[in-house]
This record gives sequence, structure tokens and C-alpha cells, in this order.
Amino acid sequence: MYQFRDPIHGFIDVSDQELKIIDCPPFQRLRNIKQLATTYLVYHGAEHTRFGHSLGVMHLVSRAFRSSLENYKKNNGIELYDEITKAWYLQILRIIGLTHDLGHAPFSHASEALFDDGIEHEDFTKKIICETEIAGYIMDIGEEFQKNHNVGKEYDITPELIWLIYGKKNPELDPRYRMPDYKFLKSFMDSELDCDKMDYLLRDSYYCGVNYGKYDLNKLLASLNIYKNPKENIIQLAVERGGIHAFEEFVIARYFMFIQVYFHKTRRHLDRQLVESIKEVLPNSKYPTEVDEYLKWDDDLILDKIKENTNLHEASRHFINRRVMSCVYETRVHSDGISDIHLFNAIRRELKLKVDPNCDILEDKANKLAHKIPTLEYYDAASGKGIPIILEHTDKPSSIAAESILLQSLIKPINIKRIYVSKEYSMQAREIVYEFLQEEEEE
Amino acid sequence: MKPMQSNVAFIIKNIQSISGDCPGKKTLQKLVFLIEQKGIDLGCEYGLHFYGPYSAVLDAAASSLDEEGIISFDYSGYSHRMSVNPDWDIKSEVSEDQEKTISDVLTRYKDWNPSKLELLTTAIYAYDNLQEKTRESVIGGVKKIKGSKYSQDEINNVIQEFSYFNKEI
Repeated sequence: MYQFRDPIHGFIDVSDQELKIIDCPPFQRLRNIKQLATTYLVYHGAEHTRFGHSLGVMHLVSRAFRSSLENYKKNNGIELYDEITKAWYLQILRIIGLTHDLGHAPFSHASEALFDDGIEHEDFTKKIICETEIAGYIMDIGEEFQKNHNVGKEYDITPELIWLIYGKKNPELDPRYRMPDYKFLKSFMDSELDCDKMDYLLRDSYYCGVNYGKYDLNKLLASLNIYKNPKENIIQLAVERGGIHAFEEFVIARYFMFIQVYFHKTRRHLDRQLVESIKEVLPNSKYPTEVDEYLKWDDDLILDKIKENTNLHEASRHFINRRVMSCVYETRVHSDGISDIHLFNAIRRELKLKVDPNCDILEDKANKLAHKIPTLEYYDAASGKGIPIILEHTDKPSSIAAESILLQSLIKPINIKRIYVSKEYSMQAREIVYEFLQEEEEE
Repeated sequence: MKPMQSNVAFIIKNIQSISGDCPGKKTLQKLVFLIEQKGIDLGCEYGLHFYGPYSAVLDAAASSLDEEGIISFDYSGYSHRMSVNPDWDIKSEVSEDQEKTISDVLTRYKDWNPSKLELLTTAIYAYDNLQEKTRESVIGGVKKIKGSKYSQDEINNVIQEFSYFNKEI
């Protein structure tokens, strides 16, 4: 057993077998993949990487899985799974948590546009899990599990099983896929209340030096439960009614972090410049598709190559010198599709007409961000969307959108649009916007 | 408007006019799935999100139509019904024949309730994703996904619809 000291969770325990994964080069590469891309150029503390986040997610899936099973037993008087299955699923979840971000490109989501068409970072995660030394370490964990629990091959843990549960598209009809157990396991990593979000909100908040992402983690974990509906073949991660306020805090944390950090106006522009700069230094302006070649690329190599490039284009020069365009107009956070967007389009037209012809004008909108816009969905058993809330007096689960008046307004999605202009023309552009809005008001 | 947006707006408008109801997100998901099954490639890339075929691409297209003011969502109820704003002149990017097919699908299933649509789309999804295209394997596939929610008779009944989609079983 080994322990990592983590600023968010304190001591994180890892087994000797898990440590082999952590110590190998494809995992150590994560020490050099910043969690929040260029955010460190806005919030200078945001130098944290996917390494700590991956450990944090592994730690949280263990806590969340155990807590939900304990609460289920308390409520129902029976265990959801026998001891061996429980231990097996826990080990599988820990590996998924640990390895889920292995395929990230340098600067995380920011440069994913430079993958070959149709490729996503998850495709590289699969290759790294299944084709590098990590595959062998996962197999070792599987063998050790079988030996320690005196069980057979039905409790094997393989890279393919990890991928089947976490990443494979449309896996349900694969004969190896256990419905609904594997869906349940995946919900710890991919749902409105997953451990990925639980970790990154706290971690990003801590490193950015902001309070927006904080919520009561211990209460939230202690409130986790399981919604089981055998008739509809559903087992889902759920929250007990007593945890609604902690869940509300979590949802609001996500909302604030999106607006204040992930979609920060300067960070968005720097990310855009970074992508243009990376394009200039990558062979054929794309990341390699072969896994060993891909793994050579990390943040340091990208920055070194950009700095070495003597033939820098404008975007790269601006990026290196942190010269950003100015945001001169931004819609309301929940702008409506009719009046707000008409006004936005009219301002853009006005600027194009009146601002100096040498001035660059750029647009950005929230739905272009890789981070999903946090929207709140009613719980729907048929689609699995939303998080079920377990009530004491009925078997039918409710949803946070129905139980929380506070969160009702978040059902409407975030719809921010921005216009940027070259810095030297920002005064002129702001005046044009101001005058236009004055005229609109008078009309 | 991008072709995907135009086509989705066109379908939403037609659902409104054919069924007389504004569709919710779930109904739209199921009906577009069936339209694609009739050979009209709208680029929706369906997967089984949790318990029924679901397209994130379609969800994103509906959201972007809302952001652009082309459709409006009514957020007051549970199902977030959507409607095309009357100021917009909606034209699809599909051929006239394909428009007729869309209309035919929407008319055929206008009286089907969401549960039956869910069963039909899941059965088709199972058929498409199973190697063995037999009645038994489709029934087994639906039961694996849905548990005991639907009876054997109910599954058998929707399998009769497969011929409409040129699926041999």
C-alpha cells in the first residue's frame, strides 16, 4: 500500500499493483498535461495537471461506491451485491477512475480540434489502456484479484473489460456486457453527479483560488444511494432526499465554475490562440494517430516547439506574448434566442460596418466549449438522464429539478455569446457598441 | 442555418402540424430515429444512452435552434416541449421524396404513445446491433436492455413493424 498526499482529499491510498500503473510513463505524462489549458494565464494558480485529478477520481469513486452501497443496505436491509462482486466492481471502478484521462492531448480539451477527423481523446485512452504496458498491469491486477479471492476467470479484469464498461460505444448487446450493472458502474464516471466532476470542481476551484467550485463533498458522498427498479432493469446512482442541499451546492458550483473559469473570456481567447500555435508545430498540423508517437506530446514539448519556431505566425506571437483581443460585447448568461440574439447580431453588423477595417472581429459562444454546458434535466428513467432522488414515502424517484426551487432557473441552458476585437481598436469598438445600444434604447 | 439544423427544425414543425402537439425531447429523439431508419441520413449517430436510443448530436441541434431563436422550449413542464417560432420560414435540406417519407413516418406513428415508441426504437436498435437477426435474438436483446418492462407479446407486436423499415427477420 502506498499513499499520495493530495491537497484536495488528503491521503490517497493506492495498492502496489495500482502504483505500477501510476509509475509508468504513459501515466507520468499526465504530470505534464494541464487540467485547465491556458487558464493559468488568467488565474495564475491553475498550474495543476491531469495527474492529481486522476488520483482524485480514483479516490472518489471508491468512496462514492462504498457509500451508495452502504446506504442502499441501510434502506433496504439487503446487500445489492455479494462481497466478491462488490470488491470486483470496486477494483474495476478504481482502474477506470485512474485511467480515464490517459488519452488527453496537451493542454487537455483545448487542442482536441487537432485530432484526425472523427478521433476523440477517448480513442487514445483506449489505445493507451489496451496497447501500452498499462494493459499488462491491468491484467496483473485481475490475476491478483482472482488469487486473493479464490475465484475463477469470471472475475477477470482486463483492459478490454475496462474499456467495455467505460468507453465502448453501444456495448449493451455485447455478450460480456452485464446489464444493468455496468451502466450503474459507468454512472460513477459519466452522469450529472459523477466523480470526475466531483473532483475537478474542487480541484479547479482550489488551484484557481476561487470559491465558486466548492460544495460539501462529505455530505454529498454520505447522501449517495441507489435507485433500483428490477422491472425496468434499472440500477442507478441516486441521492437521498437529505442530500438535496449538498446536491444543489454541487450543481451551483458547476454553474459558477462554467461561467467564471471554464468559459472565462480571456481564457477562451488564449485557448484559441494556443490551438493556432500548436497547429504550426505539429507535423501536418495534426496529432499523430500512432499511440507511441502521440504519447511523446505533452505541454512542455508543445511550448518548447512554439518558442523554438522562428517563423511564428501572428497567433503564436500573440500567444507567446499573451496579447489577447478584447471582449467588447457579451450577451446575458441565459440570453433568449429571439431578442438577445437579434441584438447580438445587430451589434456584430454595426461593428463590421463602422470599426476600422484593419480590426479583427471574432465571435465565441458557450456551446463551442468542450466542457459540457451544465444543464439540469428532470430525472427520466427511460433515457437515464438526470439523477434520481430517493424519497422515503414512495418507490417512485423524484428529480433535483423538481425538488429544488433554487435550481429551477438552471433548467434554461447557458447561452453566452461574445464579440472580440483587436486590442488597439477596443476603445473605438466599445464606443460603437455604446452608441448603438443608446440608439436602440431611445427607439 | 446548417443542414442538420434546417432538417431538425423541419421535422419539429411537421410533428406540430401532423400530430397537433409540440414534441418533447424524448418524442423528437424517437421519431428522428425512425426517420433515419427509413433511409434518410440526418447524421444523428444514435447510441443507447442509458435505456433507449439517443442522439447527442440531435440534442445539440435542438439546443442550437433554441439559442438561435428558431425554436422555443417551454420549460414549465417536465417534458420541455419545443415549437418552431412562427417568424421563421423553415425549409429542409432533404429532397422532396425524403420530405414525403418524413411526413409518412410522422403520420404513421402520430398516435403511438412514448412507451410504445420506446419499445419499437429499442427493438430496432437491438436488431441493428445484434449479429443474429432473428426474432428470438431481438426479443432477448430487448429484454436484456429493458428487463421485464415489456411482455413477449408487446415485443412481438412491434417486430411486425420491421417490414415497414425493410428489416428482414
